[in-house]
Amino acid sequence: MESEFSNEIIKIDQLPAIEQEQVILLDEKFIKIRTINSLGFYSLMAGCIMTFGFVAIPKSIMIFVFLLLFPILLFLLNIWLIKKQFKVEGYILRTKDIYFQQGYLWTKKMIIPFNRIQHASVHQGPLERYFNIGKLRIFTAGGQSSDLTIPGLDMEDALKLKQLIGNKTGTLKKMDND
Amino acid sequence: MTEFKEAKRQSPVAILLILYKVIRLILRQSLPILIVLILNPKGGKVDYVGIALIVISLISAVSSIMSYYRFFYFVDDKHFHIRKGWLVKSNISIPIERIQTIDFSQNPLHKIFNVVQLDIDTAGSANKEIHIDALTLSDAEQLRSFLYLKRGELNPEGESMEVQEEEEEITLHKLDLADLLKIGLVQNHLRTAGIIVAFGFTIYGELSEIFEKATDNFIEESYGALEKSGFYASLFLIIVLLVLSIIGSIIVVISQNFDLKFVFSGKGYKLTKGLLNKKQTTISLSKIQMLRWSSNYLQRKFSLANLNIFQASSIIVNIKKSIYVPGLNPLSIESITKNVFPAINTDHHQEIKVSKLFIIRQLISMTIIPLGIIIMSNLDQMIRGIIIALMWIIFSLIWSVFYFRKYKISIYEKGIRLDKGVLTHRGAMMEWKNIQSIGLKQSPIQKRRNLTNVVLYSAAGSMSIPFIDYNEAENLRDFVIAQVENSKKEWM
Repeated sequence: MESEFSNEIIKIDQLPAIEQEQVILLDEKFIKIRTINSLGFYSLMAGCIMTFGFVAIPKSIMIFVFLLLFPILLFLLNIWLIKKQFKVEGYILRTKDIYFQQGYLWTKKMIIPFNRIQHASVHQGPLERYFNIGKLRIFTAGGQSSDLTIPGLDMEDALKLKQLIGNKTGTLKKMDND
Repeated sequence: MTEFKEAKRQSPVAILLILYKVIRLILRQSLPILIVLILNPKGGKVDYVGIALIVISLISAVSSIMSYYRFFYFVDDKHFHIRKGWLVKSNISIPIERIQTIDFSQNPLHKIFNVVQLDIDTAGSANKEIHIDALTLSDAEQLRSFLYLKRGELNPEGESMEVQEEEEEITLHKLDLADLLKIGLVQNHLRTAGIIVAFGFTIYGELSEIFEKATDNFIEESYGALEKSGFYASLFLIIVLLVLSIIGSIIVVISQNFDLKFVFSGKGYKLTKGLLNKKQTTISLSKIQMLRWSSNYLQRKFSLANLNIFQASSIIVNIKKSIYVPGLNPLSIESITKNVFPAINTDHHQEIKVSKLFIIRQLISMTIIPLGIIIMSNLDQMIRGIIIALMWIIFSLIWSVFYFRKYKISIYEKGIRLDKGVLTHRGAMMEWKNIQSIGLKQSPIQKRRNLTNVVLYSAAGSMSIPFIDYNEAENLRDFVIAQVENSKKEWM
């Protein structure tokens, strides 16, 4: 009874699979951006703790120091994570779809076929502008959860990718313009 | 047929409707102030209230009339236009080929004057949903069929997707008062009870703020009485709560689904229902992305089930547009799934096994928060706390095992079906060609066990498959992606 369907299974093996060697990693400058962001965040946290410490417990320096260790440790952990993330995060461009994997501890691997993409856009924040890094966003009809954001691309690459996706999804793009 | 080329106004009834909306808005926003002003025992302020009321009504009236006179709609070659506004002017135009659905609805005021409210839903950017307050029924119908016709001309390759009025209609499902009573009786009363209790607490909170002492005394007195009479009083309270919940469920069911009619008309489904606001929703077959159905323990005894049909809607706004049909026979759900997804051949299927680790995940998610609450609320009586906690853990474990056993993932050549649920059985079905993207998500533990969650995204919600073998998931993903990429069929 299942023989007919098992045929399909053999076909599956012939389908192009995702190979880890093919993954194009994000731009190395992105590590810097992430580190700076992380530094900013945890400095802010440390600042809050310091203000709190001066106001609430001015006399016990030990607790104060102990509390300060907290953001420092978190920051170091974050740095470690950023390095690890850099080694695995990346995308693969195939003829009919785009693949992106992200995360080191919790990972997410997304595939979006070109014929399901509505449009793509490139974003750049101030810090990213300084490092000439761009963020590619790919929109589908599935709403936010199924959209894809690839950060940490070289700005030129990001624009090229956007152009390429635009060409691949040409018909849909024309609709978006009017 | 009218061409709608000239700018037209709405039906004059719109003035009334806009006025009603404006007044409702103003009242809602100024209610606290009004109450304070009216309740304020100090004299002399009544005049201000009067003046304020007169000013508000004047402004409302003027703005409604102006809105009416400044509102025009018309159609050109490719777009549907609306020009409106007198203080803030706006021009809205939407490409006709992108119109998804045109829905009519009526509130009691509409009914009195025999007009309808028109909502045009598009696949486009935000704020582009068009809303016309009042059109005469004939105008609205003409406009709707004209727009659908025009869209058909503009989209020659895409099959004319909308439900034509002339199509022969088959009534699949109809609910009269007796049916509604039956459906109301077999709702999930625990949920209603929860809502009632929550509502009671909120009311109590609000009241106690206003009449602080009185309610406290009252509650204390009644609580004291309750303690004296003990067990029977609590039993009585529980029965009262149960009866209230059942009545509440029935009222909700009747008010939401009064006079429900579910019709199939060749190219799509049409649902009409409503007690005061009669609402008609059409859903075309080709736009349906996903079906979900459910039936709780009681409902299965009466062979009743509920169906949710999800259709692709506004792309960027991401409003999941769905219709909900309660009280269907499970058999007719089967036939609807066949009708909506004719490509899915349910004779051959493969099952994907969920890993046993899923039991532990389920157990953890069921116990962590309740255990915290149990421990916190029994800090003074450790033994009682431990006993309750153990009982809860055993119950959760049994529940999780059953949940795991009931989880069934059927993979067909053209689609997928998911069945799950211990007491309330839930099902969902989707066709591969409707998939927008696929994600594999892994936690560190899943990675060590070579397991993964798969999320299938469609244009109307997603479906996730938990804890399956990673290699199997990759194969499934590659297979589905290949199907999507080679599919030339329109997905909406």
